[in-house]
Amino acid sequence: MSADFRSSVLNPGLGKTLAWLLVYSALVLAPMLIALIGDRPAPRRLLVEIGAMLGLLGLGVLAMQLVLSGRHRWFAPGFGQDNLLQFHRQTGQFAWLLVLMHPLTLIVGDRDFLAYLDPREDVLRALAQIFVLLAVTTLLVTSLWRLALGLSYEVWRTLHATLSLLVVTIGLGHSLLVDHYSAGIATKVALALLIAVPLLLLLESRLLRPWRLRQRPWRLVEREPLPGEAIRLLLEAEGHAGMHFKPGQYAWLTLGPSPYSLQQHPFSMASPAARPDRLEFFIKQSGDFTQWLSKVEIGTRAWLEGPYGVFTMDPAAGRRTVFIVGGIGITPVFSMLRSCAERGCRQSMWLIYANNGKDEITLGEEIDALSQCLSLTVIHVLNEPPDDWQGETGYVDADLLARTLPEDDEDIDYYVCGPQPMMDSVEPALRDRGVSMRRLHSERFDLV
Amino acid sequence: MVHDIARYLGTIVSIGLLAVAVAVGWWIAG
Repeated sequence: MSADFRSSVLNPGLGKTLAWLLVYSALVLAPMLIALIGDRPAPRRLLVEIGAMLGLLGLGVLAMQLVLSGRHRWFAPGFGQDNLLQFHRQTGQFAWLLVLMHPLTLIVGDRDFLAYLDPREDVLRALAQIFVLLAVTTLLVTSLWRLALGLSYEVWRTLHATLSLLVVTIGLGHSLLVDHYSAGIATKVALALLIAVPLLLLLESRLLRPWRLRQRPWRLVEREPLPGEAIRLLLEAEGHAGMHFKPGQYAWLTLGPSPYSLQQHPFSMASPAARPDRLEFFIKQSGDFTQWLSKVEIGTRAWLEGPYGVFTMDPAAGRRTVFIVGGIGITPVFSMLRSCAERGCRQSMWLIYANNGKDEITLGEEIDALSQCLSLTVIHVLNEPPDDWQGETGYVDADLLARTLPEDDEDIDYYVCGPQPMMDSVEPALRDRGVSMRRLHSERFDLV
Repeated sequence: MVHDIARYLGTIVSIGLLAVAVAVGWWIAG
């Protein structure tokens, strides 16, 4: 699986989703509630009061952004980090809007608030406000258009974390110094404690977590090129039992002497779950980091943070399964198939494996070998087939699904993993076939 | 499709939170 290749279905159920959204909303609204609990000052003009509330809400949303993106397993378990990041992406745009609307609404309500942006009134205060406005805009622009701006993932990640930390810290300082709703010492302490938690969690994820990884080193023991401009890496645990994972999950990989590195990328485990001490990764060479992986020396120290992901299957469940994958999206499914083979699963399975050309089929021989020991029907689909190709051609669409798959039934699960155009075609087609959301598991490329 | 749900939820929750902030500001201003 290539870097920046994450996302899986939001599948924990409606009740759990609504409960989580209520908890999230309560946490985001907490700064506003804290400000309103103490002695309330005399009311001001309508737009001024609305502007003040937008500012407090903005602080809450920005602080929760740090938690949403922190890969904390205890936070929203079962939703998938990838879905949380999609949510984070939307609420980030909302945070930008709030940070912009907060001063604008105040100034429209009372022109005296222009003084907050006037360096002649207070240099530090004015610079801090202007910095936050620019920083939040930079966060938004660099996240939405990272590739168009030519920013590498590593530079973007460092910039994002640094600016986020500064924006929330300055936002907290601003809310404490304004001294309107936060005039009381109890309110100040409560606000500071509330916002300190996400700030500390950010530091935990960037400083403490890599430090803990130092206790569990890995070493690169094998590396080989594969068809389709991919490479295979085999990592061995050094002095520990390895990493237990479910087939289909992924881990964040760092290679080099220290886990404190900007180069940390997510890749699916391709090996069977029964061998947690020897993990295999098949990686498409699509960027600077993945190109560099093809040259990294055997014996290099490695660090793995994980496992993550809800795109998983239980081989022991014995359910019939359809896999629909495109390109290097085969890797999590390969782990599932190998785990099924090791357990001696007998249920019927179908694999639709789409690639551009025949020479881009990364795991063709390995999949064919697995089909000998599993009840697995493999359907290769090529978009650019050679003249002598006998298999399916074109894109994976509703017609192809109708030709190659059995009638849908409640005992069939579907796993879909591939690039966005394929997902956009396959997911609605499966829904039209009557596949419920609970049986449809999917994972796609290009999150950031 | 299914992945868009998380984004839709982010948008819906944002609109709801914005409405709450405006309503509270309105209520305070009397």
